[in-house]
Amino acid sequence: MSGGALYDLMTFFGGLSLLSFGGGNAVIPEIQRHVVLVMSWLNEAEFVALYAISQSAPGPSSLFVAQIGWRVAGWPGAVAATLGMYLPSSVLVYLAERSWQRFRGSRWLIRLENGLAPVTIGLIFAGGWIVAQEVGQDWIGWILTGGMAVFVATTKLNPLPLLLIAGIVGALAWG
Amino acid sequence: MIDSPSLVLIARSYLKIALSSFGGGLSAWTQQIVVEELRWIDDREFLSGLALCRVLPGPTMVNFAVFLGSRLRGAPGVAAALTGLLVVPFIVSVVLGILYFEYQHIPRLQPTLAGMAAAAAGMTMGMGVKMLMRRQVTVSELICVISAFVLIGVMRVPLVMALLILVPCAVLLTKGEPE
Repeated sequence: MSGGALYDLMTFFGGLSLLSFGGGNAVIPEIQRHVVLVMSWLNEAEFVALYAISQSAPGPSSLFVAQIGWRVAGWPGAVAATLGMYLPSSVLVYLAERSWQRFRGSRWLIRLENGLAPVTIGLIFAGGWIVAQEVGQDWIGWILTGGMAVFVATTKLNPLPLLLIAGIVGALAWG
Repeated sequence: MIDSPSLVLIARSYLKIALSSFGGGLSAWTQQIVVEELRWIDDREFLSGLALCRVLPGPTMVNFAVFLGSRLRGAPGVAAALTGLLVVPFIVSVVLGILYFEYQHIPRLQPTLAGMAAAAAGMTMGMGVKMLMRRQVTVSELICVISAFVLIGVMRVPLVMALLILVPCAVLLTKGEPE
């Protein structure tokens, strides 16, 4: 392991952090190009497997970059890639939130928020819809998706037990 | 808003969000815990904050943790939220990666996670339905919801372009309507 590898990880993911408009998934193709094709840090099969694991592991799926960092330079590499991925964008959001807060309660911001609310709800549906399709759904998958949607919409109960049951169903049906 | 929560509570709540979010569904868990259980912010603030966090670069729900941490307790709140959200999942993520490289495959891990991901997608959509029902939604709002869904989810228009079309229309359509 070398300082050079840590520097490479941090600068690559640090640059991506500020380019990942539309969320972490937007930069997956660029990560794949750099990590597999340019640097040969992972081969294609490893890349796809790690991506799939991180999509459903707890926490943000963008922690995918920690796994890449570990592969390149062990735990320090994992830390370097993770800091690179989150630090620049977090500073930007922090600054934006500070200015957002300065205008709280102003008439135009309330109007903007009233307009944003239904649009964002539409985006939430779109996000769920896109993920549901990416899972590679058969009828069992759609029952899991639909059942969970109804459960969350109509009850106030904690959905975690149902999530674990869905995992067991997945293991039995597709395992 | 109620009194600012302690930094420990912010970190602990974000840890709970992170550890619950098997299969994805991070936005649904954030809403469930931050809005429904803790009532730190209401639906409107959640949705507008989420919109801001999607427009800015970076992973959306990590951005939202920064947004909420800053909103509740300033810079220390950001550190608390990010610590709760990222540290344990970071370790889990690397350990899963190590297991993968050791054994190349972990028996039944993939289908288990796929089942959870299918349910988590439903959780996200259920959250959308729940927030819609609570708003006693008007016809013009419903048009905005459907347009956003079709443009982004079905037609896959890039987010920034879609928002440049949607947001001005939505602000005009929802003009003068009560909260």
